[in-house]
Amino acid sequence: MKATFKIERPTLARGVRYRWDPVRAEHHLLFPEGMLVLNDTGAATVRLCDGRSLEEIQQTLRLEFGDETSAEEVREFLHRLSSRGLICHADS
Amino acid sequence: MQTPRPYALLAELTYRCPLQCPYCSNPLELARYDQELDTFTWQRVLREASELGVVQVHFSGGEPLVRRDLVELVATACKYGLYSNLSTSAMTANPQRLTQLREAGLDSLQVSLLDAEPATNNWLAGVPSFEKKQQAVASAIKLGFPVTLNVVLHRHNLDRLTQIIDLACQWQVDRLELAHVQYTGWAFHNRQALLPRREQVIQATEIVAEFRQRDANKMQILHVLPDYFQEFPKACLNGWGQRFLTVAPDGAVLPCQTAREIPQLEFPSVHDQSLSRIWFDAPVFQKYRGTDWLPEPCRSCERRELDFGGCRCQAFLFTGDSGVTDPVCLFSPHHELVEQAISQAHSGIEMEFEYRRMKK
Repeated sequence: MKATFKIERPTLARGVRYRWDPVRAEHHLLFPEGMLVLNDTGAATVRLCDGRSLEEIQQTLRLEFGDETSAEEVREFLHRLSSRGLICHADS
Repeated sequence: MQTPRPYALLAELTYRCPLQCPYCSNPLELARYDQELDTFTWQRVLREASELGVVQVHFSGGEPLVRRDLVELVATACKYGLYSNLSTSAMTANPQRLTQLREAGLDSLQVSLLDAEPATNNWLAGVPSFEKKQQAVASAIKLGFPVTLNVVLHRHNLDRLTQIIDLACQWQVDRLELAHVQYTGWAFHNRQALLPRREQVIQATEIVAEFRQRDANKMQILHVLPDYFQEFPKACLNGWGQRFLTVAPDGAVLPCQTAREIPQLEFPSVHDQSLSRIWFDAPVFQKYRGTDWLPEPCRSCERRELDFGGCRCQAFLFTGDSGVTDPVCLFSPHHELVEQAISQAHSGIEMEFEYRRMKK
């Protein structure tokens, strides 16, 4: 299914935060009823969700990770997070 | 296989509570465990938990707000980098206390509601509480807390699910958790009076699906399905001693908060050993860890890595043996006991429930 992610300026929703876990050496996204373990790209993506535009996020990731991160992948990842209420539009 | 480290700690600070919900998961013999850990010991537990790998702490109870040192404990959790959540009846959650908690670093708040209808909410709680909950939710949102409204579902409120969802939207909470009663603790004691009819459960599932289709962006709904009405058991805690541990008010360390249901189990205490020692070495954590202990029909079942045989407490409550397949499973030789419980609960005698009370 093609992602239908439409948020222009994604930001982490209330109560959602990124944390580096020194015990396991893992990236975590924590929220009220649970958590996700993220890979390096996922972690870099959520850390860029601070109100800047989706395009800027994609561009920054390309600079950091090269072509292995396609714009479409980033969009799909953010779509999954938003369907779980973990990210929202910066102004909302 | 290497033993994984736990991600979450349920810190049951006290069994004291101003409410008397008949489906409480606390043990029936509340007064037996009234020697609560002091502040200093809880702070040590939080440090040991973070060193062990815990990343989230859920302050719960009873009612954690009755502890005068709650703000201090939240600050300690924050100091160790733990994500902290408070599960509360909100009876004494005044704006001043909430502000202190916010400043101490509390990450999120989960407020219980028993029904959308004030009179029924108060009847189920055993005390007037609806208005206080409403005020607390409003204050919490004003302070910027992410708020989850938690409604436990059963025979007496399922028919008002639409109103419950509407109310949660109106109160502007971030999430609504709809969790069907888990029949352990007081809930098992009151099972006859709480079990819903199958049609109620089916209707509830439809209502939630409809909301998600129509208003998904309004509010998140977490719907915890009632396992008595499922074909397969839930993956209780994602497996015994895999991701989760509980420290009870008296310092007992439990693989799950209702494990005290099983009288054959012995629980180590934080008074005697470190949390890490308990997690990795205590016999009670080893007992049902992984899949090697599984009995048939689980042992040869392709679902064994999905549900790990289901809930140990439920297996015990139905059969007297915590080592058998969860009877909720269609393949369990005891499955008919679940069917019997459902049909008996609706045999025409409307049983009254007993309120959760501390009996001395």
